[in-house]
Amino acid sequence: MSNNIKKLWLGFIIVLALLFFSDIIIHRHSYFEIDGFFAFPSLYGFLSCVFLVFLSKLIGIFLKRPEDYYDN
Amino acid sequence: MITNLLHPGIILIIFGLLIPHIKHKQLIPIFPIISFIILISLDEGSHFIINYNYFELVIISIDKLSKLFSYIFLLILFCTSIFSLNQENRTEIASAFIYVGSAISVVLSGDLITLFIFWEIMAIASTIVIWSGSKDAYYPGIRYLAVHLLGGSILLIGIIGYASSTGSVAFDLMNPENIFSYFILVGFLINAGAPPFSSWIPDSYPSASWSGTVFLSAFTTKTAVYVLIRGYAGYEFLIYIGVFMIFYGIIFAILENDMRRILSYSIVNQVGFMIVAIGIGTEIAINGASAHAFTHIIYKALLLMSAGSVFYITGKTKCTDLGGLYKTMPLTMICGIIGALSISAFPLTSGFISKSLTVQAAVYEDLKILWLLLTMASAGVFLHAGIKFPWFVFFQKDAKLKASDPPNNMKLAMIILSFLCIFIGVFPGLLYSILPFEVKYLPYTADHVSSQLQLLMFSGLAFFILLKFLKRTLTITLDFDWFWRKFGQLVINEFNIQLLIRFKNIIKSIQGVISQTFESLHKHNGPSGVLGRSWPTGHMAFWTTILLASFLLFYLFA
Repeated sequence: MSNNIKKLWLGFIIVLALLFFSDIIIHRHSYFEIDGFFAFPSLYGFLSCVFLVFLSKLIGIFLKRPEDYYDN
Repeated sequence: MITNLLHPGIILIIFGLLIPHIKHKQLIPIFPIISFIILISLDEGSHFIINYNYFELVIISIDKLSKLFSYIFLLILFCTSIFSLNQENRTEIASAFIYVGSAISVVLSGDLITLFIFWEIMAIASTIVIWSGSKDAYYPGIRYLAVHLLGGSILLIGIIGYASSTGSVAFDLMNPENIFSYFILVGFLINAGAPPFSSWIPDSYPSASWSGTVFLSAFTTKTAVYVLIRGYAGYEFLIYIGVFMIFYGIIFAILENDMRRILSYSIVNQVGFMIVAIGIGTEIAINGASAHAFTHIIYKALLLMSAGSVFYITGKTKCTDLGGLYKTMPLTMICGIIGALSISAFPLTSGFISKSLTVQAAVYEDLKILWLLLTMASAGVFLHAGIKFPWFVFFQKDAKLKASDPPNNMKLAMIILSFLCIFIGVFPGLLYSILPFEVKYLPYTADHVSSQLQLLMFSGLAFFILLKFLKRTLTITLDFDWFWRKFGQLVINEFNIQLLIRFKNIIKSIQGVISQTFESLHKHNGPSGVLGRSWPTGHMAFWTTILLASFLLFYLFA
C-alpha cells in the first residue's frame, strides 16, 4: 500500500469512528424499538451490505453464465 | 385560448419530425425551451377537450402532478440534447424528440384513449432510439418492442373493457372492483419494469448509443410511475412488487460487469422505491414518489452521461476493461461521483431530500418490516451504484486507457445536472413547493443526517472489506427473459427437430414400403422375374384352357 492510500484509510476510519460514536451526542429519534439500539444505522448498514453481497454471490452461483451464453 | 392550440408534447413531436432537415444542430436545444414556454403558459386546472364519438378526449389536463413531470421531462430533454450535439446519428435525436413529446403527451392526457395513443408512439419511437445504437442493438430492440407491444395490448384490453363497463374513459383513480382496471395496471407495470418483465431495461438500454441511453433512462419508466400515481395510489400489493424490484436491482447490479447495465439495474431498483411509495399511497408517500421520480431522472441522467462520456471517449463499457480514469477524465469523474452520491441519498444531495419522504411514509404508517427493508436497500444502493460504479470505472487498477474529458457541450450538460443535484439537495423547499401535496417534513435534522451518514459510511466500509468478493467477471446473469430468449427457443427447437425427424422417418418408411412393393413386383413379375416367365401368350392360353376345363368339370359333377 502506498502512503496516500494509507492516509485515506486512516481518514476514513476516523470518520467512521466519529459517526459510530455520534449517537452519544446526538439523540437519535427511534421510530421502532429495534432502531433505538446504540449505533443502529452503522451496524445495520454494514451488516446489510455483507448480507446483500453474499446473497448475490449465492444467486450468482446459479444464474451466472459466460457472456456469449445467448449468442449461439 | 390560443395557448390551448399549442400542445407542449405534440409540438415536440413535430420538432422531432423536423430535426433531420435542420442544418444547424446547435438549434436543437432551443426546442425544449419553446415547449417549456408553452407549458408554463398553461394554468393549473385548464383542460383541452375534444368530443370524439361518445367519448370526451381530454388532450390537455394540467394539475400539479402533470406539471411536475412535464417540467422534469423538458429539463432533461434540454440537457440531453446539449449532451448529444456530437451525435452524428440524426435519426436517434429525431426519434428521441418524438419519444419525449409523446411521454409529455401521456403525462398531460386526462383520458385513457389519448393516453394509449401516445403510450404506443412512445414505445415505437424509443425502439428507434435503441436501434440507432449499433447493429448489435437489433435483437435487444426487437425484444424491447415485443415486451412493450405485449404491455400495450394488455393495456388496450383493459381500456376497452373499462370504458365499456363504466361508460367513461376518464383517467383518474381506478376502481379496484372493476376487473379491467387490473389489465390496465399490468400494462402500466410492464412499462415500469416490474417483475417478471424487469429485464427489458438492462437488456435494451445499454445497447443504445452513448447518448441514446441517457434519453431512454428518463422517460418510459417514469411515465409509468406517473400513471401509477394517478390511477393506483394506495393499491397495497404494489408495495410487494416495489420491494422485489428494489432488491432485484441491487443483487443483479452487484453481479454485473457492464457499467451501463449496472446503472440500468439501478433504474429498476429506484423505480421500486417509487412503486413502494405509490403502494403506501398516503400524501407524504405520493410526494415521495413524485419527488423521487424528479430527482432520480436528474441523477440517473447524470450518471449515464458520465458513463456515456467514458464510452464515447474510450469505446469501452465493461468494468473489467476500465479503471484509473480519474487521472485523464477528472471532470467526468467528479460529475459521476456527484450523481453517485445523489443516488445514494447523501445529505446535501437531491436523493437525500426525496427518498427520505418515502422512508418516512413507511414510518408514519407503522410499517416496521418495510422500513427495515427500505433502510437495508438504501445501504444497498450505495453499494451497487454509489461506490461500485465510480470505483470500477475511475479507480481500482489503472487500465492505462488513452482518454481525456469529453467535448465542451457534454461537459456543460454534466455540470448543469451536477449543479441541480446539489442545488435541490441544499434547498429542498424549491422542489417541495411544486409537489402535489403540501410537505410538512424537514429532512435536515441532526439525527436524520447522522443516521444516514452512519448507514452510508459503514456500507462503504463493507464495500472495501468485501472488495475481493466484488471483483468483476466476464459473465452475464440469467433473468426472467431466459424464458423467452432460451427456454422458448429450446422448446421450439425440440418440437421442430423431433417432429421433423419423426415426420421424415414416417415419410421415409412409407416411401420405403411403397418402393419395396414396387421393386418386388418388378423383380418377380417384371420381364425378367420368376413369375414373369408365365407372361408369354402360349402359357396364357394353356392356363385358360385348364381353368375352363375345371369349370366344366365342376359344372358336370356339381
